[in-house]
Amino acid sequence: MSNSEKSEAVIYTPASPLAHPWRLIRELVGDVLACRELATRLLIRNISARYRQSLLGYFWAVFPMVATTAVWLVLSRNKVITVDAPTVPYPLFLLTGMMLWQTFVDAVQTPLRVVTESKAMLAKINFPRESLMFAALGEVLFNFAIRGVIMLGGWLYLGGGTPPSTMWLSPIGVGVIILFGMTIGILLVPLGVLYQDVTQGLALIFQVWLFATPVLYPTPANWIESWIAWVNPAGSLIANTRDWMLIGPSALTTTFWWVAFATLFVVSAGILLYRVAMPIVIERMQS
Amino acid sequence: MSKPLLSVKNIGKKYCVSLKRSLMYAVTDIVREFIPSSSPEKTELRKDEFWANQGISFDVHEGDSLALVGHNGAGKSTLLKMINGLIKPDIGSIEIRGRVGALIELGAGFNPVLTGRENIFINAAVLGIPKREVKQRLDAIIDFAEIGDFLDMPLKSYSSGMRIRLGFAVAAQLEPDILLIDEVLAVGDTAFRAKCYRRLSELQRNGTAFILVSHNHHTLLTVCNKAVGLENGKMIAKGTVSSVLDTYETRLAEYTTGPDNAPKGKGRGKVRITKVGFRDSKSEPITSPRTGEAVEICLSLEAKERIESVSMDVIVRASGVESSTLLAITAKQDCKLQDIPAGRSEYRLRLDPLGLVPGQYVAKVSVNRPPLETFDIVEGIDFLVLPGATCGDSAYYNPRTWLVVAESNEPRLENQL
Repeated sequence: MSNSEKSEAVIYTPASPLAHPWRLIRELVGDVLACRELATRLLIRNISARYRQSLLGYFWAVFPMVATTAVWLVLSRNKVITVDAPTVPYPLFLLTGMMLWQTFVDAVQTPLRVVTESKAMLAKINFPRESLMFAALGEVLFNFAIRGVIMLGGWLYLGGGTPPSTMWLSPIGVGVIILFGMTIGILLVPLGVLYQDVTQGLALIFQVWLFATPVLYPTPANWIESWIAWVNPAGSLIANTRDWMLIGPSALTTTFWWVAFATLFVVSAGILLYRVAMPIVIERMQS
Repeated sequence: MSKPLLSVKNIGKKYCVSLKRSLMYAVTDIVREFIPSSSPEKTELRKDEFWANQGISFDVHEGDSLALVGHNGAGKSTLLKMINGLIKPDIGSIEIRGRVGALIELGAGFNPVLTGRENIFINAAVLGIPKREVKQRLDAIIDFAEIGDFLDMPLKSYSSGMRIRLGFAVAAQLEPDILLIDEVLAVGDTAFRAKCYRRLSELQRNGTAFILVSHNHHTLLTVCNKAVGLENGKMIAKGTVSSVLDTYETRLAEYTTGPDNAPKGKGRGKVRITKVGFRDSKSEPITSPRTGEAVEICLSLEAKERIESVSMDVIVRASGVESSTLLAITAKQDCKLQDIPAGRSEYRLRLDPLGLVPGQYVAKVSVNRPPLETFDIVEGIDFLVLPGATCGDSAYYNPRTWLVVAESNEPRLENQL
């Protein structure tokens, strides 16, 4: 934006940006390239502001995963609930599952939160709005890193043994989980900024969703053939990635790749939707 | 003449008055963006919609300064938002050659927990100023903002004035081809405002075009070379600043004195304000008072019965956002409570001379019986003060006399400096 030459005219018209797809893509790529510095700034701002005004700081990023792990551990030890024993120590299994689940939840929620927090800026300043998405991605990765350290500590302490040969695939697994979550997150941004129901609903949905996902219990044997594997792709992604991290080759890998492949398409749609919808959404923001 | 930097052609924008419906329309509008359509222009008004901008066209060339004139809600901000590319027009087109900068919100992206230094970099990044340039000019920014030792303290500890100065200091580093300014300069102390104006005239000399929204007619007349007048979203005048201000003032005078639009009290109490108006030194009704001349602010009252010890309160603010109170006069404080007769009467406040400088103001008047009984209030009375006695750049008109006196037997002055 700041580097455009005088000769190149910008024209604002009522026409949908999709009417000129090449111009849209050119502008999108230009903005994405131009917004790296801003995205980094916003990321640093968000992270340092969050932790500077907090006593417990990073603790909050890992609290849900540690707490849920602890509760489930106590419940299963006391036979309040019975879970089929996985092939690795159950605490480690829980911790890994919760880390991946929390990362997924984070990836879904962060885009909308970042946009909502930037409402005042969006309503008054013209800046590449994609920067908010990159800042959101950065935050998700940062939180993942903190949780990763805890998980690694847990793994060492609980004696996970030699990592399986599929260990090297786990970054891909995590990447796809984050991409999948962010895709849902971006698709929800326009509606979520307009209606608060989305944020409210998400919190509720995640509570139910967690129990419908093999995070706290091993993947049921019939999951792979069942329709649930497709209806709840997040479950397939998480279970598969956890298998890669702890156990070895997963029966869910085919589903994983299909979901990953589809996500690539849907995320492009999400990015387009975000770009097209933002001016209309900003109109409704208080200034 | 070369091609204009900015060309606004027959622009139109709809807004919806109902929140629920406007959210629904947003969803349908987003969906509609994905459906190919032969005519993208959205000319039909849906339920609860009105035209916030309609049929506005103008050009801005290099070095031009365009004043946007209109009272609150006339559509100036909507227009600026479209030019700034924040929202899309529903009709027409805006063509821009060059970089657009906006002094609309100072300190965008500021975070109160972070230090001034950190916030400088964030704010600059939001405005699109590269880090390298900020580093080079960091000293200039700190100087300009006059924040000194506060640089490494959290923004929380700054006074509001310091925040505004810091915001402007960063924004002042912009060198756009077109600069949009929305009243931000109305804040800050006089010395800082002068500095801001110096920076703006520097930009102007370098060929930056301005689009300026201000309620201060003096500023508009000195800074701008053309103007567009808006009323209810429509363009009512275009041309030189003085001609547009003239049209605008006449329209405003009609607006304030018109029988239908005139603000009326809503009170149903013992006393009602039926009309608010001005009279000159000879008590003749006038629409706009003049600086330095006598004026009577008159409230036509209708009382059901005779009431004793009634106060009239007058509060006057400069028009526009975040404006401070300029006059707050009550009969009670002056110990001049009046008795109101039954039937019709006029409660008058005589100001001789009027100290307000030419410009647009908003008044609020009320009649009440101290301490607690309020009979009627009228708010949002827009009025103009026309130029009368000269007052230059003064903030208010001070009646005065000049004279030279030969040395006499009067006691000598102590040197106070």
